[in-house]
Amino acid sequence: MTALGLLLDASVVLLLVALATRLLLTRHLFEAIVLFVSYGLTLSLAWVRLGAPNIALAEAALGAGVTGALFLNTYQRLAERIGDGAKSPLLEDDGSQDPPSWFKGLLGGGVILLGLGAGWALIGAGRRPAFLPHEIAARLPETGVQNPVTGVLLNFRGYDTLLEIAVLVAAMAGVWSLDRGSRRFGRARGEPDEDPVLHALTRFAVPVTVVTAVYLTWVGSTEPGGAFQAGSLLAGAGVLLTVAGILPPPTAASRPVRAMVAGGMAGFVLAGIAVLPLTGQFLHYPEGWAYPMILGIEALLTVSIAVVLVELFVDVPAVPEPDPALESIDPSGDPLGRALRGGEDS
Amino acid sequence: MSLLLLGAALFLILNVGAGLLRVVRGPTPADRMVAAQLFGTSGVAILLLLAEASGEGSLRDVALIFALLAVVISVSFVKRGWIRAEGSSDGEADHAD
Amino acid sequence: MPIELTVTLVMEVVSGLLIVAGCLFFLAGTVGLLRFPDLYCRLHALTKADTLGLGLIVAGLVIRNPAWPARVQLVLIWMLALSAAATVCHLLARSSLAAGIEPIREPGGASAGVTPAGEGR
Repeated sequence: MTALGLLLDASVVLLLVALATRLLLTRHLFEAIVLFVSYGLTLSLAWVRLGAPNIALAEAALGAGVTGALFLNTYQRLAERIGDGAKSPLLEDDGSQDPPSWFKGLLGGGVILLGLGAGWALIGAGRRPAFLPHEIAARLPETGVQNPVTGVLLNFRGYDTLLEIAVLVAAMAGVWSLDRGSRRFGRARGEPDEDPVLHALTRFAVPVTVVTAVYLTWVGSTEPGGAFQAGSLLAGAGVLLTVAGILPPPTAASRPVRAMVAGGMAGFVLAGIAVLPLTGQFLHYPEGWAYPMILGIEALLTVSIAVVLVELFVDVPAVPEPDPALESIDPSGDPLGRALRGGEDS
Repeated sequence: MSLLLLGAALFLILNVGAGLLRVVRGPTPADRMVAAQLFGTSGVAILLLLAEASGEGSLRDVALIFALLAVVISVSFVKRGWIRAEGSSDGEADHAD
Repeated sequence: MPIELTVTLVMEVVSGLLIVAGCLFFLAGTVGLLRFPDLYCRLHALTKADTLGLGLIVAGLVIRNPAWPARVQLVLIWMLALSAAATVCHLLARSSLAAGIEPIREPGGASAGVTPAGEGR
């Protein structure tokens, strides 16, 4: 049976290597995207085999699912920008951009050296006692949760998670500020607005997804799960709803959307500050309060992550279309830009 | 009896590996998406088998995520409406807008 | 004791058979994906065979797993995969047709003149 397990692991590794090789060598962008998604799913299987279902969840949801969908968006933008011609220099193999072979050799050699070094470091690590898991297990009761991963992420290393959500919020702000509003996603071109089959699927899949996401957030304190996985699941549901035209795409013009995006980070920071007078340390939860605080923060984070991901996916920037929603906020359109342009002219 | 479960999982992984040839061959983007769909379904089966073999119930959650996100990817692909006959001679430049 | 033992044994065997049968359907789906001549045939082969394969494997696992929550979850996952495969197959086929990818009508590979775009339903 262990031999069979080894064989299983070996085929996962072989598949990973084959996918990565082809992914790097192919010049066909769309193929690369599909291979990337497949690579993410295989990697998720590898994490499962390594006994890390938490990372497997995150890899499947974020690495394969959401990133893959974002890549599809990007591909479409490229294709549109180049024009509808099927053969275009960016999307097809033209061979013109080939770097010289000595450069490729150097790069390849460097990467191989890096890989060998990493392998050596890993094998060398066997000499060290693996102390971290024991430390964490010994102090897990203090965190208020039973899942070591959640304990580390939201208690021992709360800063890390806070900065992660800060990155997401910053990315959202960046997209919004670049974007003059292209809200045309809900009605994809060429497709009839009402698609009964898609509607039926959405009506069945979305409730299942939402229940699973709530369950994953809840169970995150004792078992694999947590805000990022649950958030990306909810985001999947949100994308389905928007694509099916059931929900309008979320926009920055909507106050609830902005509140939900900021909520996770705001709640996290406020919780961190609120415990200051009690424990004297930022994000150091007082005795007995750790569990409810972590659960509350996780819930807020889940919503924030979900909205940010849907928004990143749905709100494809860089098409300068007039947006009535934005125009109505400020009837003069873009006052700052106008002022700047006026300054240049005078 | 987890021998059978692991064996089935191994078989399915090899099966997926073979199916991914279709991603490489194309010829249309839709063909490649079909192969990704194969990965979605097979991945769900593999994870369910592994969940049973290892007794790790949380793998079923991963399987659920596989199933859901495979849909999201395929649906978003289709809804973008840019499936194009890359290999076809006429190029099909215009969609019904 | 013998009756319970026999029941367990029979359930094990049935579950094993179901799982093996499921794997065979997955194999059939992949063969179809690789060998069928055009997108529509491949869709036909893959989405149906794989979903049935998954269903058989889920059935095998439901028999094997004594816990009811796990069983319910398994069946839910299968139902989700079932409706997803059907929907995705339909959407892919329809939008491919709308985009002008013509199905093969003859065994030789010649495609008859179908009107491609914008028929709707």
